[in-house]
Amino acid sequence: MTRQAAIDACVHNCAAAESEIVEHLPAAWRRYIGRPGTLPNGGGAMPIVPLMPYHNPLGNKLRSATGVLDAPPGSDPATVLAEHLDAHAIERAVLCLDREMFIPALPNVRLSIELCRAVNSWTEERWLAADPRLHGVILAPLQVPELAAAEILRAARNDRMAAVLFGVNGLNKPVGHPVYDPIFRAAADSQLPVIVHAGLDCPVDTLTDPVPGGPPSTYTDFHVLQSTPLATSLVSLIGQGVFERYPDLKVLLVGGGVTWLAPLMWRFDTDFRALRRDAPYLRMLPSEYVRDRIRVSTYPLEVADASAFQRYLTAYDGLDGLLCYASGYPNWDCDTPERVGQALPAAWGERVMRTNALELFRW
Amino acid sequence: MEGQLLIDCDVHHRWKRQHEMTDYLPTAWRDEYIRAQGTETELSILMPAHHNPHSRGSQKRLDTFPGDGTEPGSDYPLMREQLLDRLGVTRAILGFDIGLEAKPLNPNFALPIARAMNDWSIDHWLSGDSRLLGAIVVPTEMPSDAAAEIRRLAGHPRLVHALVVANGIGKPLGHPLYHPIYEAAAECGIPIAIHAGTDVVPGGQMTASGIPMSRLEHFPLMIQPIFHHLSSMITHGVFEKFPTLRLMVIEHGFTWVPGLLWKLDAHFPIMRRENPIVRRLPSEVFREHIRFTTQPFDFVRKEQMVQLLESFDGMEDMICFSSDYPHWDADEPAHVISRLPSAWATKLFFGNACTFYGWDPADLVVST
Repeated sequence: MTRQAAIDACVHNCAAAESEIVEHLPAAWRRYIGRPGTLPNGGGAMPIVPLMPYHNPLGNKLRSATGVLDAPPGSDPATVLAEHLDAHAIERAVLCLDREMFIPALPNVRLSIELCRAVNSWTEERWLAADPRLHGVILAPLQVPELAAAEILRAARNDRMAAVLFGVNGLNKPVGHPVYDPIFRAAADSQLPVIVHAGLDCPVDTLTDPVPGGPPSTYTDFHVLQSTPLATSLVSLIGQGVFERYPDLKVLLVGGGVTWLAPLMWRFDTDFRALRRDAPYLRMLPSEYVRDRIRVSTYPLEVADASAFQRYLTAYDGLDGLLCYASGYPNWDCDTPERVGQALPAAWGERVMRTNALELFRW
Repeated sequence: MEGQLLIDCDVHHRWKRQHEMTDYLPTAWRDEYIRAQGTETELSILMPAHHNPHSRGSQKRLDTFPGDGTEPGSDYPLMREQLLDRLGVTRAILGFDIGLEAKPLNPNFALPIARAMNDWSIDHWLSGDSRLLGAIVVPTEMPSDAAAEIRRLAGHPRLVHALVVANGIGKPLGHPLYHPIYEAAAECGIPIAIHAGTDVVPGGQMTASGIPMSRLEHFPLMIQPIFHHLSSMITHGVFEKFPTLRLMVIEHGFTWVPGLLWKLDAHFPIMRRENPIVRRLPSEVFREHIRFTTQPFDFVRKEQMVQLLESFDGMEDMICFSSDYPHWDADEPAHVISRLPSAWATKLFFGNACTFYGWDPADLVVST
């Protein structure tokens, strides 16, 4: 199979050190945060990026092929370009951040507002300037939707910003709740898709549950259940009529793999027959809203036996129109374009690896 | 389906008036707590669940109302006519409606109320028509009490599994806190059943990333907890600790099983590091220990359903027919088999259930 150019809808880039982002804050805020090394044990700077409670005992990230040992994986543009984009003929990549995506839910809301602007500025200067193939996402202060809308409209003026990132659940409501409307309105007005990223309920500061049925006891439980917040988000966005209110809105659900979609949509369509009075503003079946407005990342792909996997995927009408290749690089569960291309039906290659993304991101 | 055996693994029965059941409580609980205000104003045992009611308030088939002011599922003659006789049911497993009373506000009351529910069920439903079988409802929030209730009743010939239905502790069901329940069930040689709705009660976490905002959103999402309950039973090695334990997963459907198992199997190297007791691949554990009832069955084209299921080896051995009578979305046997390979009918309608519950089909005679 000849290798075609791919579009990667999700790379997890990050700051090598938090000071990279702090530099983009106004002076008074930089003083408030402080500087590393000014207190004992290297301290003196307030940590600004929330921690992730769940860790893979085998490691959260790929070991870098280029052997850059000191820099955190995903923090060096040159490494990302060489090791990932160049190595795999990736023609465009959307940089979806790493734990920075949790910043909008910081309890210190004034700080989270400033930091979102700072991150967007850092994205432009450190990443978008490095290579034209790199595209950014807009980090918006999701706890304050009207301010988030303003930041989206501002940052969207840079046409290398490809999407709005909904990476944390700042208001403890499902994503389709009307409290979040200003965010979707601004994204739609800016002609940008919204990326809802699994893990949006992970920080301790959120009150929504990262998985159903209780707190996960193991990383395995946590990771296996990563499709559940995406399923809730999908049902919420459709059920609350967000796609009716914002005809230009599209959403990409990232981080849950692909096998969850068919069982959910078969059930949702079936239940809709009886329960449609709950949502009289809906004009189509839920699966038709998915077809028109929602895309799902291939990352992380669940394939073991390609032939069985392909039988499963082709059981759902039109799944090839719904999937967008995303690597998730450099997470441990990332997928190369080659792996995904081989796992999917051959006829799906062009759409999933490239043209669905061109359409979604309006390139 | 003349002459075909039919096991219905999920039917919901109910008392006509709450005091029918609370009559079985110890006198002190009954008179000084529940009935301090009198029989007609008994303290409400049922904790409110997530508030997503049906439009017009009823989630039962309208034709199942007995017409005497009592609730669907409370009338044996009507159940006999509409379900047992009409569909030619060989055995129906009754599971309360749906048993959330077993998680009351007061944990000290959980075992007394579960006992009353079980004793009521035995006297009112399981002493007559031999087609009717029942469940031991357990107070999941109090695992050692749940174990005691299993041990008390596991010998009863008409009680076929221990029913876990209300998860007030808010942990995944594989968590070690619950292991006394599984130990008792394994020891007594009866399976556990988990019915959908475990985490709608206070203390439960029904969905990831926010509470559904309508019944339309609630229904496709309400099965989410079972993904974690099953995952946690794997990662906590429940079936390694209790090798004879079996689990029936009720009213969650089953189309999601292949996807979950592919994910779980892929994590085998990680889960073994997180808990050395894990020994077998999750898919192997599922095939040996776990079964799924078919309701609610999706309205999709047969070829789609068959293709999806046949992508994963052995689904035909893992599913057992259920109606969910008298709920609004109850299934009929003809509907279900019309969307599955006809070769699966024997296993679907009785073979898998007989194997699971340890019944010889030759012993199951439909009483006239």
